[in-house]
Amino acid sequence: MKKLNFAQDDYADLGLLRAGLATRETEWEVPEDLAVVDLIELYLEIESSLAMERGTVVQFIGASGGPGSALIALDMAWAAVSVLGKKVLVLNGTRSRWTMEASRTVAEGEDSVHPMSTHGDLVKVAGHELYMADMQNWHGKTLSRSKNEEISGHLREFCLAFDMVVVVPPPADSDPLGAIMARCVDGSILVIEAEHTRRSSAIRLREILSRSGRPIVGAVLHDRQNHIPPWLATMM
Amino acid sequence: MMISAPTQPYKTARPRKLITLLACMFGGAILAAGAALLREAQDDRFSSAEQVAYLLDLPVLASFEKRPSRPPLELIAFGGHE
Repeated sequence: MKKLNFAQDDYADLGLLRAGLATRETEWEVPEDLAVVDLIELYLEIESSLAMERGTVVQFIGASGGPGSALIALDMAWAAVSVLGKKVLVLNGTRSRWTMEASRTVAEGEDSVHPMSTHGDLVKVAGHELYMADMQNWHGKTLSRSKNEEISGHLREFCLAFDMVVVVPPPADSDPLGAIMARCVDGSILVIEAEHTRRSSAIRLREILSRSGRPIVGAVLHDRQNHIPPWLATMM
Repeated sequence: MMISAPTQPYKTARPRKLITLLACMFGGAILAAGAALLREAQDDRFSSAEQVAYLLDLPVLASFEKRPSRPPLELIAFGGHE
C-alpha cells in the first residue's frame, strides 16, 4: 500500500500540509444554479449530527454507479469553504483521478505515466481552503486489519488539519472500499441516484453500513426529476 | 308493386359512433392507468425523497434536482473546462 504524499518532498509529512504548502492550485468553476443553501444546510446537519470536537470525517457513498456522491461532496465542500470559511479535504476513492494530469506527469524519455505522481497528489482550489486528493492506491484487494488501521491513521491525522474530511468511495455495488471506510469514518451518508439506484441495492448497503458500528447520518437524493410539469404543479 | 321509393335513413344505425368513442376513451383510460400502476409496482428504483425516507428508514438530508450535465470531474479539478 502506498501512503499519500502531500508534499513535493517524498519524505515530507503532513506537517507541511498544515503549514499551508500545497502541490498545485486550480481554478474552480461554480455552476450558476448551484443549490448553495441546501448544500450549507447539508454541511451543518452533518456537523451537528456527529458533533466531533476535532474535524469530522464523513463518507458519501453511493449504492450504485453515478457521479452523485462525488458531485455532492465537492459542491458541499465548496459551499462550506466559500460561505462558512471552513477548511475541507475531499478524498477521491473513485476510479477517476482528480489530481493527476497525465500530460504534465509524463517524464522526459518515458512513454508511460507513473500511477502516483508525487507532484499531483494534492490539489487546492485557488482562493479557498478546499483541497482534493486521490486515494486510489490506498486500498488493496483484501480487507486486512492492518489496512484498516493505516487508513484510520491517515484520517485521524487529517482531522487535525481540516474542519471536515469528505471521503468519496466508489459505488458500493462495484467495490468494497466504501464498506471498509465505513469503519474508519465518523459517519456515512448514503447517496441515492434518483431513477437509477435500485431499492434492493440501497437497502443492502444500509445494512452493511449499519454493521460497521458507525452512524449513518442520513441519505441524500441526487438528480431528482420532476415528472409533473410546472404549470400543473402550480395548479395543484 | 312498389308503394314508395326507398329513402336514406336520418342517421347511421351502426356503428354507434358516440358510444363507441366514449367506450374507447374509457377503456383506454383504464388500460393506461393499469399499465402505469403495473410499471410503478415493478419499478425498483427511487424517485422521491419520501420513498428514500420510508424504505431506508433514514432522514433525507437533502434532495437535489437534476441539472444540466457538468464537465467530468477530472476536468473540473484541473480547471481545464470552458
